[in-house]
Amino acid sequence: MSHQNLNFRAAEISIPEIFDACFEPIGKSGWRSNIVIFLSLCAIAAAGVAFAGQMYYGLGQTGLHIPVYWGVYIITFVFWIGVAHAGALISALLRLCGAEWKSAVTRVAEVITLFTLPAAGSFPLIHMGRTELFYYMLPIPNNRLLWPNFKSMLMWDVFAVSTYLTGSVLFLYVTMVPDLGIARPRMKGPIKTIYTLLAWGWRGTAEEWKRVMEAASLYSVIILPVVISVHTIVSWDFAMQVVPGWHSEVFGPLFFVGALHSGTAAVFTMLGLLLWTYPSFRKLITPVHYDMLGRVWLVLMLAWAYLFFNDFMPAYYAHEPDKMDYLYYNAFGPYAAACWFLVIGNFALPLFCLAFQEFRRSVLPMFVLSIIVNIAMYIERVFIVIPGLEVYNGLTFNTIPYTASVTEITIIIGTFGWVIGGLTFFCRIFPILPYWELAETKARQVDVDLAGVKVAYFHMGE
Amino acid sequence: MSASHESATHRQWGMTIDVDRCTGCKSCVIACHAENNVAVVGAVESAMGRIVHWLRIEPIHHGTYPHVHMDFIPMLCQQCGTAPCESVCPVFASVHTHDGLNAQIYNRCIGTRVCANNCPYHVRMFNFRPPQWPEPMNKMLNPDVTARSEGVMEKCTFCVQRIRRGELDAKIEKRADAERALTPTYDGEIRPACVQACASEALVFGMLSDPDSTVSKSLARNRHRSVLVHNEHDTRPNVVYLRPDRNPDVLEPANLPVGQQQHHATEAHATPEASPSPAATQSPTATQSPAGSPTSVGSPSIDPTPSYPTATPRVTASPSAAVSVSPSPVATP
Amino acid sequence: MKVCAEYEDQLTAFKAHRTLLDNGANPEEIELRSPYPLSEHAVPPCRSKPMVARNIVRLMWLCGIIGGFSFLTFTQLEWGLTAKTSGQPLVAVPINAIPMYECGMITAILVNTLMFFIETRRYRQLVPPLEEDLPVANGYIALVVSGEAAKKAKDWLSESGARSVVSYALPLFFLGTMMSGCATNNMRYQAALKPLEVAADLPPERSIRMPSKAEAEVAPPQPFGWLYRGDQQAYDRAKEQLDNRKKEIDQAVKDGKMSRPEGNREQRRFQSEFDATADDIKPELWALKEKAGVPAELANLKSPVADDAASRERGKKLYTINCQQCHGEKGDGKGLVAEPLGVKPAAVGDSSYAGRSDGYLYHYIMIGKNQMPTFGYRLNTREVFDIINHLRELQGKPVGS
Repeated sequence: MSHQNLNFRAAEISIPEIFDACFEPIGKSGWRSNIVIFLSLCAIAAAGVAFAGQMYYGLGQTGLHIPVYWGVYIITFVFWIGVAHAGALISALLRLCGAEWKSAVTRVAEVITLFTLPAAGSFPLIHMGRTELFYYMLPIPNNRLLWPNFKSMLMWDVFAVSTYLTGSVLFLYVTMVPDLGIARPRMKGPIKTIYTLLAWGWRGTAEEWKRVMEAASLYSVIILPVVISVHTIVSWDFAMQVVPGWHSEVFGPLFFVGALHSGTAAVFTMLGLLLWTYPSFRKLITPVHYDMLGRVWLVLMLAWAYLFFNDFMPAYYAHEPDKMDYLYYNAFGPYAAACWFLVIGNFALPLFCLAFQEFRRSVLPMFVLSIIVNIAMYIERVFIVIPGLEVYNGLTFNTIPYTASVTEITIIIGTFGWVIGGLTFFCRIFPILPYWELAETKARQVDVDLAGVKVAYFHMGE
Repeated sequence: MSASHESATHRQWGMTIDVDRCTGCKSCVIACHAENNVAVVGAVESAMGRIVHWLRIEPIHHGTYPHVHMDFIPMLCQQCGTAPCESVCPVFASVHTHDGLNAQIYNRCIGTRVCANNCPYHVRMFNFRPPQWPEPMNKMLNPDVTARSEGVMEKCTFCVQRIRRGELDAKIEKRADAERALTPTYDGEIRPACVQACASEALVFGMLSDPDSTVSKSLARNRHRSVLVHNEHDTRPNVVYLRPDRNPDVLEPANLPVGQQQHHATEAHATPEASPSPAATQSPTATQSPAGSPTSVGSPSIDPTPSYPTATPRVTASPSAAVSVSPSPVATP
Repeated sequence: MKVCAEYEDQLTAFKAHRTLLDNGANPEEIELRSPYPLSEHAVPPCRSKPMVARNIVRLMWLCGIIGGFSFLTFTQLEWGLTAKTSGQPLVAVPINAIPMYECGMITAILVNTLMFFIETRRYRQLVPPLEEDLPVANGYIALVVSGEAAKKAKDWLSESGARSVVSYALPLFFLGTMMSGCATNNMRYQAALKPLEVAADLPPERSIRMPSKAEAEVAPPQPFGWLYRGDQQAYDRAKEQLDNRKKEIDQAVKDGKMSRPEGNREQRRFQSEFDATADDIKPELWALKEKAGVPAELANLKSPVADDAASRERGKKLYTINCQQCHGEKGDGKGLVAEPLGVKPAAVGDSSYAGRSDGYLYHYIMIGKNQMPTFGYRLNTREVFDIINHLRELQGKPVGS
């Protein structure tokens, strides 16, 4: 069995050099990562103060009011859940497809999931009126036989997000065990202790390698239905309600593909940040990886665009009054500029840029594009949540538009700090690049000269 | 509906609101605030759109100047038979009681606000701030009603404290007998604050499942102009609006597509009506609507106990319709 | 002569190395070895059976995708075909399907992780030695000493206890944490054991403390106190009788002596003995729990609070606050909230309860019973006996007067 790929080649450095490049930032501090971590800590501290203020003064600190009961907290919840899907896509899907180039980006994506999912899961709690009573939603046996309502889609959220968090953490951990075991003798100080505890006595025998690869494959199989269920269930938070802009059948696949779209964009953002913060990674994350992942992104973007326009086309043909109001309010209402930025930033601009290989291969333009897409995808979630509630006031006395308050924005920026700073700090303790996968790819590569064209051929075992 | 709902002992409190009689004086709103300890949020919060009303008056404008006419719709919790708010609450804070009320349990509520999003009537109110009352008003709080804390949902309860008080009085006087099997209270004995305050008697409250009650008689008398608001979601509300005779277009869908009407008629036929309730048999359901709605002709009742008109006309939320309830936010700069 | 010792980390091995050198051992006779492959060898040696494993994985992947999407499709609200079924979904997915689905997925993930660590455990321990005389067993750093220095090393190693502990300490830690967590659940017993120290004098404070050793022998703490299983043997006996009766009925039906009634279980309203299950005899089973309940010290305890009018007045007030909503104003078990309860509240005001000792009532008020919650947190000993005095007054009167 062989897998040929005319474009992709493993890193051009030897395996010991790969080891050094992977473990270079461990236990060291550099000024670049220090800046990132310091700014993140500031954001987290500000968010803590803002949240304390909200707990003390009540939800009146937010900009929510009577028709718009769900605001920017829920939007950010959906956004982070979407970004968290990067981990499942890159590591599980590409692992199952046998893409050889996946190694450089798998763990980055999984670590993004590791930090974005708690950020996402915190938002339903922050947005609740009585956060201190969140445990009413947990099915704890009690004397009065009071159980949560399993018919409620918010309960489904609790189950789905906790399942996905558990699964992605274990997926990340099990595939990291070989790296920890290999690097343990060469580490010093508390990092050595951490590696020793987490490696569980990894020795590197042939059977262990076999098992860890099987486990990774099984995780990939199991986690894909989980991922589909998670974002479908998040979409049902909206689709199961009677609000006209929300009550849509296409929301399940639309949310899922949109999550993959924004998750891939977030991976590019984080890769750009990592390449700036830790220069040693530039040997391993090459333009080739950018090219391959950019192609995947292009396909996902097109899938998202199909479902996004599909959400409105049937409503337009049928001229359903409620949905048409919603549509006109979006496209020509007070938020028309944002709406068209959404369409351009999410669809037209990536379609134009990603079509060119030279663009896909360059780091800085991809970083800028990924940030634009992230903003546009955030705006897409805004357009899913807010206008549905604002338009839906046929019998309401209240037509005040919704504006996010300082408290809400501070808390949201705090979660951005948590994700970015957490990722940067993670790189100082654990290998963010999977050494064993990179080394394996390198070791299996066989160079062949095909009529003057150098081609990499990957040996798949005996 | 399940079989138990069709039994003779099924109890259902309900209300009819005669839009023709409503003068829009809002004394019901004041009475509701006073009776139920509804918090006064103040000018600042009110300007932010956080004003709390368990009962509000929706003005509806008709015609063009100078031939302008105005109607008022008191909008309160419809105590839906199949309430959308109940199924979505994750902690069962919104539940149905044995006598057909849609109860909100404040202690259980954690403030996810999903019920308010799912309510087509927008009658669920959220406490964004701790409730406060200006200086003299804090001395007149009703001791029978809980003051809701910050962070919970609240809504109209049909003045459940008065209902329970009336039932206890009846129990003390040992009034329970065979004639009053549904409720031991006298008809008209229990009146919510809004009903009590209404000078023109536009609001009538009582036991809907009792065919001899005032509210049932009022409904039977005015069946040709009874309307269930937003029943297109199959909420089965227990507040019945009586369309004004002088202007029957109020609460009438202006441009309801024919296909949708047929769809609703199909739904009405598909609803099982296995054993008709005593109320349904006593008040014949074949009353035809003089308004000429094609869907209401000859179709059986969809609600077993209070035999409401079927496939009722509905109020659309569309600003493009003739019933423009409030200015559309599109027009709001 | 060679001595080999294992260390679970490099630092300990270096320390041992240094100690031996300080004791005058020959440096050439001491060697540090690691079983870890060097970096150029730290890649998996081969991929065994790539085709079979990958095909299985692809099949499962396909099943997951198809299952997930069909699940998603069938639960849609306004799917086009539902117009022909009056709006009902084509496939009725039960309302608990999504929690069940997620629980299934999380079980699969946890099992996968557990299996990985369990399966590789063997290979992490039982591997062939790197050399004939080098039993590096657990994959740790090895210190190999030969020649003259071996004797010194033996002495030193026997003192320092060079054993790997991490592999055992972690599971033991988790196990201990879980076991200690079970014990803290047993709060009802702690409340029940209060009279042993306060019966003579009645301190007003409400203290909860851990039982002493002597008390623990009287009523040994059971794990998972909130389950409160009661008399397990009696339960098993009753269940066995029920099963035997079912077998008899089956045999009788087979022999033609009996015939099965028409209709299903709901239509028969559970009246037929064909429908008896363990759930139906639950009240009897709960009654059996009484045998397990009251400690011997409490069985014949007399109330230390005098049965006077003041005590009864206090007890009536407390009864109104704490008990009346279930047990009723007259103690007839027909309180306001009694109707929906699975086990009906006891008619504690009935004269049949007059024969129960004060200690019996005290015990169950303090620890609760069936649906009845624990009042040991809310009431102190004097208040409980006030309530008992009020109950005695109720029991004196005929119920319903």
